[in-house]
Amino acid sequence: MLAFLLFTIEIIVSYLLQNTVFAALSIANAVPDLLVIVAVAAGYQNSRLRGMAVGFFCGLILDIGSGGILGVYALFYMIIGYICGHFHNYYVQHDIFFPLMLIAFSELAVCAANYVFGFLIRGDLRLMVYVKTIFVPRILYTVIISLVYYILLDILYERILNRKAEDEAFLTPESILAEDARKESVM
Amino acid sequence: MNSRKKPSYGIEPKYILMLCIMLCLCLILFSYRFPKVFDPIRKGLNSCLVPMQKGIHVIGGQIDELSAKFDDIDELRAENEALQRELTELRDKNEMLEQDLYDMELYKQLLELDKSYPEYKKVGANIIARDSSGFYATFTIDKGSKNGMKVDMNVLADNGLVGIITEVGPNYSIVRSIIDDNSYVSATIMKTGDNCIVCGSLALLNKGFIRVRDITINSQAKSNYKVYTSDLSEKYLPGLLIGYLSNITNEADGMTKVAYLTPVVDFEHLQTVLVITQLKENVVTGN
Repeated sequence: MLAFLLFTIEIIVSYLLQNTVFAALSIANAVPDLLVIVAVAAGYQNSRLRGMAVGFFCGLILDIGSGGILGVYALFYMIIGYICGHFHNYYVQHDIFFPLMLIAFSELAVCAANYVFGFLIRGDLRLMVYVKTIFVPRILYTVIISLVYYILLDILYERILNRKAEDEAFLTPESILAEDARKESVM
Repeated sequence: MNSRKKPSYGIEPKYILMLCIMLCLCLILFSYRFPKVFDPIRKGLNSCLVPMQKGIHVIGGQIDELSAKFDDIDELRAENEALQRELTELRDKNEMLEQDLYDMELYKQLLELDKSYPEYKKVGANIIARDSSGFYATFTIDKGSKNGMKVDMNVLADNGLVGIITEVGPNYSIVRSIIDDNSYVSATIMKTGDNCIVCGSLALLNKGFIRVRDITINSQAKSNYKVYTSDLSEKYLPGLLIGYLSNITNEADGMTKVAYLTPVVDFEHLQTVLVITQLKENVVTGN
């Protein structure tokens, strides 16, 4: 229940910030994609299913705001959330480098999908122009903002969802040794 | 990798993903075939977000005002002087133009053209949100069907065309600006009377231009000629200034000319717009 509320508030706040505050603070006509950060964080820090669900609603709110066909962004962000959920195995608390890479690649995928389905199918082959004017500023701005925003989300998950580090990092050698030690002490 | 926890609900998430992908595809097809079904949901959710966006806009405006109070007094004084000089120059120009206007009205009456560009009724609106994908140039304004907005109403800012309303909700409207790739405006180059089409172009926008095409090959148009919306446009009212021409060249096939257009409106710093409340069809049929 708490998780549901947390994610709902996060998605709405990210969407509003993206469309209003960051639209005014745009650099080179680019706005950071906060919803991608939310979707990646939800998948990476939780599980595939949560990543999928949060990704779906991130995409859905973008669809609703953009006035086009419903479900296009929802499908894409859902897949992003699921794939990042796969990387939950490698989750290390307070690490920023790996999620930053995930966010950069996810944002690249979103931009590429936008180009392919919005422009390529209309015969617009000027990919390099769009890469220079839209992809690069957007990915850079998103990654820079995620330095702050992702850490914020990480802290929120930690405090509000009361995750304990031992429950999550079950692939590290220390955790396996700790588990073995615990089993031995029980026996 | 086999020490991943098995989900407590027994179904592997990848099957749930496949199911959800199917559902999403169905949603896409459904909302493409039956857009009206999803309209109430879309408009309902958007209208819930609009008050929050308006709130942020108001707070942003107040912060702007607060920071403006700290502007240097000397700077303001210098700006004031420059503006006073500009004002006197403009006043002189205006007087000369008033004389020309009087003559023009006379000629128009003689040629019975005085109904051609009537004064349109306008309503002001604030921009409260912009599309953030970077690929589309649409924004949301804070007036909707409750304020009398309808789809296809033209939107201006100060002296130039900004775009057209594409969607209307109870308390918001979505405007597609002329710099969007999907935007095509039938236009006329005023001095020569040539018709052309003004297309939005995201790729050129960094240089500050959008495209003009289908100019007749014999056109005498030169740089800095003004381009207005034409009578031939289906949705745009005639006589609205769009921008200034530049870089006129022949199209590759040699049948038409193409050019760049510098829009009059500064899209990056747009805050408030004016919506013309008359639709083109109403003007034509005289409603």
